[in-house]
Amino acid sequence: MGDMPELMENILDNLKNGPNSLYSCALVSRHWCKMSIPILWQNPFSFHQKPLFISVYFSSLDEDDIYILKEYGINLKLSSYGLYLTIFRQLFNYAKFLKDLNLFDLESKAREWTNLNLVRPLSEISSNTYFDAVVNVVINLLLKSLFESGAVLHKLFLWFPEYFEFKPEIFYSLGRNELLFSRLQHVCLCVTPECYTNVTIFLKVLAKNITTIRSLDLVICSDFEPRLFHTIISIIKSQEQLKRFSLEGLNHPTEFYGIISALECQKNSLHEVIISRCGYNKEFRIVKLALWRYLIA
Amino acid sequence: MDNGTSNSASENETITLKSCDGIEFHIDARIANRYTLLNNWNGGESACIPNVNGKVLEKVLEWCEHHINDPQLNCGDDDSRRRNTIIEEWDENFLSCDQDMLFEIILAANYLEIKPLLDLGCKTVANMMKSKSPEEIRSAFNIDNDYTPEEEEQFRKENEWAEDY
Repeated sequence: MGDMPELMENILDNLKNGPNSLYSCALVSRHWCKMSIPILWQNPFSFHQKPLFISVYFSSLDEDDIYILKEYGINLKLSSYGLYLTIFRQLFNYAKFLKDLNLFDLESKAREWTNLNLVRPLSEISSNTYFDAVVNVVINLLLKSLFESGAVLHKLFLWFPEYFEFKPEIFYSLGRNELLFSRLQHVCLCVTPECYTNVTIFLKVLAKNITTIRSLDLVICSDFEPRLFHTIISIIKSQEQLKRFSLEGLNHPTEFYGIISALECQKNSLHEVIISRCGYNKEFRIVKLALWRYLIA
Repeated sequence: MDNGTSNSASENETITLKSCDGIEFHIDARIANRYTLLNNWNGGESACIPNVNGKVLEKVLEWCEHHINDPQLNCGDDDSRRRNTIIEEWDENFLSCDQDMLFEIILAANYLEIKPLLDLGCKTVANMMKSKSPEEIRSAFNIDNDYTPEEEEQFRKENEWAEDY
């Protein structure tokens, strides 16, 4: 094995869905640790494990952020695990290894972590709104830690819960960390009308910074806001090598405000276009036949 | 549309490859057509493939011959192919060799840019690590533990979530 370190990444990549195996590999030796840890931490939100890794991310929070969590009933220093993490310098900057960010999984793990760490357990909290507010704070602090870690994302799944609201400093972090989206290749956007404001601002940041998307998946509603379409159109037009595009409608939308027509400028690179559960629209006629033959209605 | 199985060479055409220890192999030209690097060494009397000995080259060519009619995958299929952890029975038997030979085949596949064989070899090694303890992996691959007890304890603290299920 010592003769083929360049192939170790290829070998360990086959274990990326098995955190237990990667954990064992990382404990084999220091060298194996250096090879396994970046893969283990590529997308920890996707695993079934309890989300204790969020405490590891939070060990880099500053005193102000720790105080905010405390105000909401989460004391990071209360458990010996949390105390250990906030005192010792970590072996790695784990957040930097994140490659695949799925906000649906992140929200679900943030809820679980919040429930595990609230001083008053969820069963004693009568208001769902209060719990949602705490989760909102946890998600914002998590995103801030991840965005400021030096991580370089390859995949992004954008989904926002109804109650979610970005804190302004998240957009500040996004604007400041140019590397974050510099290699982004796969984007999936799934939005409901309740979170248009959040999504629109986030997408504007994306549109300004990204030219590398190869695969773009959209899930849209029939009452999508036109200004959101305009931002998506500018994202489509600014990509250098868009190879795959898919559009799935909720409630059979019939109005696309130019999204389909915008694909025309990507006709040289597009290999696959999938449109499903959408009503017919005259825009479909605008797309040239050369591209249209790939469409699957 | 190209289904990925067409080769310009005909079935009867053969080419000659020589391993680094001078053993000659006469192979179906369609194999060399699939893998550019093999094609580059075709024909020359003194031309031999450096770094790959006869024993390993024979195994590599046996695999190529068995898979000659497999569809060629696009770059986009790469990730899904790799994520599939199932190994076909023939391939499993083919790689049921000693560990040294397995690593030699992986190195040769890497060197000759035979991507599907490289992925198969890496998948086989990964399967040898699956659900094993660190001690079992060390013993399987003859590796020394160079952690200090303090480092190991710190590592466990920071990553114990991955062990939990």
